Amino acid sequence: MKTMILTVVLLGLSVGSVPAVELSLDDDFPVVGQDQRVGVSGVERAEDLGLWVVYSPNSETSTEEEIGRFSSGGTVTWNPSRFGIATLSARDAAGKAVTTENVAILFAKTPRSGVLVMLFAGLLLFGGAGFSLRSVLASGVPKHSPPIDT
Amino acid sequence: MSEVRGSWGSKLGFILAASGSAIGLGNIVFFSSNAYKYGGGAFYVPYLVALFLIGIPVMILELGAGRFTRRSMPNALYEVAGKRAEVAGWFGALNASIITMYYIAILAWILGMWVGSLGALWQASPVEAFGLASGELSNSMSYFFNMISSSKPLIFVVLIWAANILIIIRGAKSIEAVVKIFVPLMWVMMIVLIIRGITLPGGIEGIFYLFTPDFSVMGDVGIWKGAFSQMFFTLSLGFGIMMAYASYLPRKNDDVLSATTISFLNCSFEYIAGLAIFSLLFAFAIAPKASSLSMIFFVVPEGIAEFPVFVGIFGFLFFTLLLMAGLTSSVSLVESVVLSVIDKFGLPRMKVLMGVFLVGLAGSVLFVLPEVVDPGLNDDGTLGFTLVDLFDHWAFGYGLLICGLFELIILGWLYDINALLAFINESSRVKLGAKFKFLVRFILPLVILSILVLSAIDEITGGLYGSAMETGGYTGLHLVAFAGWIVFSFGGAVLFTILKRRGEGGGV
Repeated sequence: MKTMILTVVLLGLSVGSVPAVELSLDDDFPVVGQDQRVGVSGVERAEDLGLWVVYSPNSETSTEEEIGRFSSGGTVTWNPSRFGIATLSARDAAGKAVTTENVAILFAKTPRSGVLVMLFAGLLLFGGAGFSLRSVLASGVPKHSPPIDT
Repeated sequence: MSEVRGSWGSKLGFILAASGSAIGLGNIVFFSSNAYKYGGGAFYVPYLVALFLIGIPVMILELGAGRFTRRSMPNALYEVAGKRAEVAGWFGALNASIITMYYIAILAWILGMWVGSLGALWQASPVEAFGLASGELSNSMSYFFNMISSSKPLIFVVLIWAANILIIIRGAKSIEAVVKIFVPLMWVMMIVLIIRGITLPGGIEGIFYLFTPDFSVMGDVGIWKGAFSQMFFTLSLGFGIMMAYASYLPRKNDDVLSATTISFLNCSFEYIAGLAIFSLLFAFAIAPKASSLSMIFFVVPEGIAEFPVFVGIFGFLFFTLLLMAGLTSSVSLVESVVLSVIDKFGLPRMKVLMGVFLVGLAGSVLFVLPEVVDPGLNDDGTLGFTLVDLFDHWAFGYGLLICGLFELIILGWLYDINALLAFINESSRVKLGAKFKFLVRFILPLVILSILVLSAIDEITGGLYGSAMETGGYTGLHLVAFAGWIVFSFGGAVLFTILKRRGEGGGV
């Protein structure tokens, strides 16, 4: 009986001490068009796993790509093709995800059109709000107001 | 009308109250959800176009019509063009009622997050109700999904409805007092979140994501429908709210100035909220689970959890303000429905309030049903959330645009538009002329009609929205939602129109 309990405890401990499967990247924020080394840890045979990426340009559409299989050292090279939030997943031979990781992929250089829209919209909206509020306040406020009764 | 209608304490009070109605979950929850759903920059440019093309002109018309008739929307439209116009007004009011029901359900979830912000939200918790591995979701996501799959939101929904009714019983003055305090505080909170967001690695890139136009997808009619619907929703157009508010205005008011002020204030706040939310979204690389309507529940708490100090206090403050911003808007939504019924039937205010409370509460309860129908969280998780997603698609995506189209046709074609414009011009410094009339009569109806028709074609060819959703044992839920929306808003509109008006001898 004691042996059985010990076995169960040891089994429990060994299960508890199994490291979680994790993905790691050279950079926390990969850049479009730049090679990125993705590593997997916590598995016995990394070469049995493949790396997949799901790009989600918006929540309605997503495109999935297979990047390749991990080397025996547990790494694979990925060249991000789209800006935005993507989900990386390490999958076994049956296609089941062993672990997943979200990453934010950055533009290779500051997008001029984005900066222009941001500045234009900011000036337009805040300028418009300021100008019209000033006009409202300048037009005066009634001294005696009827009671509010909805 | 025998009842004496109150009026606003000051012009600034009206502007703040109207922008308080406009600044609500629409700016924070729905704007970020739609901007993410349609791809950030791909959405923002159509959204800006919608502000000038649709938002400001329709608001001028709604304010003018409300001030001119001193009536709520169905009754204002009845007054200007008879029964056939009244049915469109009731459609708007009833479509708004559906939105109010799930809006209050979302507010109930916010109340749940507010309770969580006192402690549990910031601690790691296993995902109990869903078949997901521990650690697969962030703290805020697991807290949110655990909360919506519990029975707590059923209690929260009752509390939110009760709060709405209490505020309305106290009258417009109480709304004015509340928004004067909470609207400026919400601006401060968002600015604090922006500072947090852009000082985190990757935060600035989130801002680029929001503003960088993606011309390759901007031809998609769905994006334009999303942007136009968002503009109607965020400016409280097509609900009857602005007409109801304007009916309290003095006879002389500069509607053009009021409309531009409210619109610019509202969209400036949305700009600020967008900066805050998208910087945090990128900094934490969050891919929201379930409908994008839920993203606010994950993104902002993640950002707040990374504050160096006062995490609990900031979290508590954020959800308090969100609750208040939502309440001021839901009060407007409920008030516009109440006012429409009183205006037509002349029933006592308390009776109408109680009726709206009971029907609304029953609807809101449906939207917080906690049964898990999608354990993998591939779609919306619970039955209530799935219903929110489905009804939002119809009432928000189509209903508001249909109501806007009806308004434009009624005011532009069935009514003497020249008389309405002359009335608006009487007290406005900027005079509306032939170009504005052309816009209202031709351009806007054609644009909205094209978007609706093209979207409907997409819907028919691509399958009705929700047909591929995971809904557990509830097959055909998407059809039930579609039919429910049609029956409640279109069927109800016909019914309310044919019922006898106060003082009317016979039916129709």
